[in-house]
Amino acid sequence: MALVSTNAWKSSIEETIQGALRNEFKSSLPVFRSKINQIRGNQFVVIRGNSSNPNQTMFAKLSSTYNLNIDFFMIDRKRNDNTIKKFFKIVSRIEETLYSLLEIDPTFKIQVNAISYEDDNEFEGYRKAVFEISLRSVR
Amino acid sequence: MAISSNNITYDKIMTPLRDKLRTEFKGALPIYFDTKHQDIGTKSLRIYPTSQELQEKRTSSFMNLYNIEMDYVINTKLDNEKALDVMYKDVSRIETVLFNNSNGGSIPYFYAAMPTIEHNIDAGIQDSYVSRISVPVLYEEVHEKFVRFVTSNDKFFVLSDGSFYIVRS
Repeated sequence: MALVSTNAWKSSIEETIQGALRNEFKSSLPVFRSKINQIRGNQFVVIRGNSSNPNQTMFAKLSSTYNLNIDFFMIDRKRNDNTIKKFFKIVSRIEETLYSLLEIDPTFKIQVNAISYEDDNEFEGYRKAVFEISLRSVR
Repeated sequence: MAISSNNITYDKIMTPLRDKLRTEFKGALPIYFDTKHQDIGTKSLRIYPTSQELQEKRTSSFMNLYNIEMDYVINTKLDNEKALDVMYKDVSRIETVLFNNSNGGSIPYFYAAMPTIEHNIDAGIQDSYVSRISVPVLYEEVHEKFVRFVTSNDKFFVLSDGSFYIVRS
């Protein structure tokens, strides 16, 4: 008989983040899970799982730390103060959403370890913020 | 339910820095935010954050280090000492403004260290001298926190539509 196992990456991690961001932004910011880059609109978020490390524990549970990237893209043709303000407003809102809402779901110790800001090389005219996050989940 | 959030990078990091420099230079030095150089005068200062790193995570707050890049550009067709001296003078003045405003003020602001300066960098701008000033800025933000409502027998409080009852922590 096959073991009963949880698809942790999908259910506990990526869909949890996707759900938290969708609840906050509704339809104004589409949130996808993908490994490849493709333009999905004027502004969008792509969640990419990178790696996981086991947390040593004496409990009969599987505890791991998951490392992910969240890429936020926003088109900016005007390149003025207002569009830069809007870009960073969404960045801050994503960051605070991750810290505020994710503990409602079975994840903990969420950290936005770093965010880098750049003009995307692949999509001309898009600004890009790459969030490096880590979080724990037990199953 | 939308959370309340601040535009940290723009309102708390970039704008105070720009305003302090604008107060000092008045209209003599156009200052703007962008990743790319804009041709807006004989000399200009471009401000843009390149990255941020988490320094400390507390129960309801996080402290980040913001790495801010500022490119001072002075246009000169002649490779002369005069333009070089103007650049050195302005950059020293920027450094002094940063030192004098390293903490406190109307908006809590703290430079994690004094800026590093590279002169005569190649930024791909024709007929100009460019100095790059890198400023590390620390900022701590308190965030909202929500948890599920737990009943006395350790069960989650579930509403009639199946959603959880969520309370501010």
